[in-house]
Amino acid sequence: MQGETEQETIAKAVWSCYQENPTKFLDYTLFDLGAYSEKVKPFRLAIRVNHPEQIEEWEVDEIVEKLEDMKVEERTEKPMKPIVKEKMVEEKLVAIGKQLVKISEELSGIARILMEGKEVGLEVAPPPKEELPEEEKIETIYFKNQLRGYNIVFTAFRTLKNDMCNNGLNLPVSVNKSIKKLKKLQEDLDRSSIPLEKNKEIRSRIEDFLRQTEELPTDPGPCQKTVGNCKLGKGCFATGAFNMLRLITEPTR
Amino acid sequence: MSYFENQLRGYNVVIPILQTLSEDICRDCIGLEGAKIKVSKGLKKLKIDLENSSLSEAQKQEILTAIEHLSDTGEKIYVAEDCCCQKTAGNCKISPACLPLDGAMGLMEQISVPNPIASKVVDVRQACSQNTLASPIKASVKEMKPGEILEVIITPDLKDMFNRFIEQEKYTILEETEK
Repeated sequence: MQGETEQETIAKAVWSCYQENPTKFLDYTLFDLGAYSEKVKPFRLAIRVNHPEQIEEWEVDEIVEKLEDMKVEERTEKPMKPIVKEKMVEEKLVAIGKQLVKISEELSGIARILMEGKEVGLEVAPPPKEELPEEEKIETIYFKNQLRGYNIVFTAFRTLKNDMCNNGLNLPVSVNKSIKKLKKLQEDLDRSSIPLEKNKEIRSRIEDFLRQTEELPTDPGPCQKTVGNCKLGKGCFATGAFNMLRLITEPTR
Repeated sequence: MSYFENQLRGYNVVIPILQTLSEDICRDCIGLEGAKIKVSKGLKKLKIDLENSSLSEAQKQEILTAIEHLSDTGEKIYVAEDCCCQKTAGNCKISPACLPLDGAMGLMEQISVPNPIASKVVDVRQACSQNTLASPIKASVKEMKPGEILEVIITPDLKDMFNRFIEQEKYTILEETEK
């Protein structure tokens, strides 16, 4: 269109370029090819960007480089498509196989129950489970959740014992706070209506945590930041570890 | 050096916590899976930072050994093959928070001292007076943004002069390494 000054001709040329059906323009037949003339491969992209939220900024260059390499491979290795297809079919077959195995296991389980029922001549239906009252259920969840929290807090304490925190201020302070909180948890358990067996189980776990505190520092020393050993900034691992308990806010008591 | 020490101290606590959580319902949870990936990526990034740092070879080797040990331990954290959020599955009822991500990984946020990688390096080993020492440093500082770090290479005999200059200009020495 070089040298063309007629507005209408230029407009017709542009219009012809985006028509879906072939359109005559001067000596040319023009139309829009569409986004991509070959068959789309959406699965490939899905694999590549499986977890975009997990890609860090500093990784972008590395990932782009890998994608470039993959592109080159695709161009040079023609039989790539059938391999991918075969792999997908294989994966599907494996998944179906797994499901079939699961179904057959479940069926054989049912068959066993039916046969047992016939031999003994009893009802095969399992006895209905004794449902706990709602309040007891919530109480049990409360203690279970608290114990989950102490489990990780004490792992952190045991690790920090081998760090400079052992001679510091905040690890012993946090251990002492944990002892207080565990004793309070014990009192809460005494007042709870949790069935005896469950109660015993929870109590033994609380006692186990309290026993662990005997191995941990409880006498506060100087803050390792003030001494100049700890250079974390404003934060503190020991306090942070204890504060993990704060994440457990449900159920409320 | 303190940047690497802090990071290693952090991962040293985070990884055992994640191991403990892998014995909890978290073993089937995408939260633990995500935290495991974060640890692996964080250690990878630490390795890159170490390569780009100006630490001595001996120091680099020491830190690298620690990073590799932590990476190996982190890789062994057990996570089920088919994970799903245990809150969605109705098994985890602690709160909206997640123990692996907000709890364990949250501990890394206690570290607020950033990586002091210098954005510019100036070599003043040829300086023979206060003026020839100060001019290239001042010129480099002029081109830098606030908060950026300048690495200055000097010889031991220039140290007193350099310290006087730092005092005059009210700059702060973040780290001193000998090579």
